[in-house]
Amino acid sequence: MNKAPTTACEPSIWKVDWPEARAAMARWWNGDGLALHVTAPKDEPWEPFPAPSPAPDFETHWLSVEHRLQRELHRLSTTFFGGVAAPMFNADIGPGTLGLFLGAKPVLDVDTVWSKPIIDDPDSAPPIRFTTETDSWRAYNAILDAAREAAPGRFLVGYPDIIENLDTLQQLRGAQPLVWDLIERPDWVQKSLREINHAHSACMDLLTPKVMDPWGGSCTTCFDIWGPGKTMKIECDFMVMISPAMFREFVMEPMAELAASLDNVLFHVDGPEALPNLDNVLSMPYVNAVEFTPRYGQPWGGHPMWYDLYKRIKDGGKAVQAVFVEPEEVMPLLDAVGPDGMFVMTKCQTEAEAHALLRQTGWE
Amino acid sequence: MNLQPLYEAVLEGDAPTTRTLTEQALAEKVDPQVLLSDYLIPAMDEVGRRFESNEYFVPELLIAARAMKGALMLIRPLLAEQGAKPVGRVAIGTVRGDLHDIGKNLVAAMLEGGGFEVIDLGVDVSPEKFVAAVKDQGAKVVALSALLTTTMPGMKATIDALDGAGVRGSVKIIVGGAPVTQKFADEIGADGFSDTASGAVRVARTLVE
Repeated sequence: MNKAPTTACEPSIWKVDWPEARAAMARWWNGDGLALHVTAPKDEPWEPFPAPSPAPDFETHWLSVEHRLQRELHRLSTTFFGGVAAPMFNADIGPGTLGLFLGAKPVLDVDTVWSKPIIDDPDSAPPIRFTTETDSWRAYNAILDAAREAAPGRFLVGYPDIIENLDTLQQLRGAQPLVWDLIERPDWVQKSLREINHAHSACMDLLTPKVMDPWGGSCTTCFDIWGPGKTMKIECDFMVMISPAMFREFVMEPMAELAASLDNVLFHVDGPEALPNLDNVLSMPYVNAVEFTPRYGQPWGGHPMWYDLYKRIKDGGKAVQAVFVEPEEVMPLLDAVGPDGMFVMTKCQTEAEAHALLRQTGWE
Repeated sequence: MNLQPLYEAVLEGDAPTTRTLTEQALAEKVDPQVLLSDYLIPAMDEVGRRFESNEYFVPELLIAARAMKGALMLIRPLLAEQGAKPVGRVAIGTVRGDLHDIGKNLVAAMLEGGGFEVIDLGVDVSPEKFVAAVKDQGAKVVALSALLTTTMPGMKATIDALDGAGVRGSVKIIVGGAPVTQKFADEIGADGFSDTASGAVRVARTLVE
């Protein structure tokens, strides 16, 4: 069994080159250097945590503290984390945690959690306010607290896939009603987005002390990002439905305000349908980096068809996170777009293959 | 009567003007079929073209479809009196296990705007419901929507159910949704695929010709 390298004064995690990874990530947020994220099955587990039996139901799969802990301990202890990859505990109850904290009803499913809207009539709906008195908040914190207890010497515990802005309002209101609201009740939408920002802030005030790590940083597990200070992914998947003008009218200001409250911000752009709004995203202040997820059925992030997009993002002054890159695609990608400001995420079949790739890029 | 403003009103999603102009045209004995074929459907086709070229987005499409629907409510009874038939009857729904509805609603709106009669089965629709729509309501096209990779198998299950019920040969099946591709459509034996709402109308028209 491997031991995480620890000393009396330096806490550690299941990663031998964690100091180098932190330094690389700090550079990457400023658009400098390469952040190569490589994972592989580990030859020998860090600690022997057997895989739990498959959850008998969705309730157990998503909400059982014991099951979540067993699942993540097994996953993280059997994974090799190379380059900037680091063991990060996933405590998410699906995407869009803020919407659930604000009262949207979760509908648990195989690999996601749906939200049932709760705002039928905006004219009579109460203001959107964050409270700790929801089942979702309690359930999430139970998992988070258990993870924090198990974390020292093993892994990081980060912010949830919180999501914000129109995506949160969509969870509360429903997608199509919200489209109509943008046309018929623009003032209500803008008021609601301000309330969601306040709620986000209140939520962050409670979560940040729990997720700040001994190195003065934090992470967001769903996008595998770590950085000094408050580090978070933000997104507006709803932007695939609206024009750039509407994005500027509704999204830009509250998103920029939210981003300003964070130290490192990655903006997730979901699919080619979102690209009409890319220039808007690139013009947003306080956004350090942009991640692009190709649509299912299209080539993944290492394909040459995305090279120009990555260059465009870099030319727009943001760092890039390229995801789902095959190991053999890494070097051609870096040759084509240049390594500076690139976060490239890849998964190898073996630890040896991962080390070879890390040597090839100069990490080892 | 100059009916070009009717075309423009639909294009701009101006429901009150669309309704007023339709009423005026009908009062002046303009053939409702002419209103539909020469102004309303072409306006929605142009909405679709603008949507595909990123000039229009979902809100613009929905308000145009709403304006069109207001006109259709006035015209449909008169068309029925004339014995006119819709372009085709489409049963549409998001497949079992998938709760997303906006993509399906856009396609339904565009199909309606394109002259089809639409039976909207909603979301999380079982294969059996699609079969019933074909057997009991005479749908000639079945349009299946899915937003998740995990619910895409529901499309194949629906096609299998139509096959098992002995009605596969009497309907055309079109599929769409963010993760759906032409390759997938071919693999599961669908007759048509589109990745846009307006494209779905073109495909459906081809299939019912």
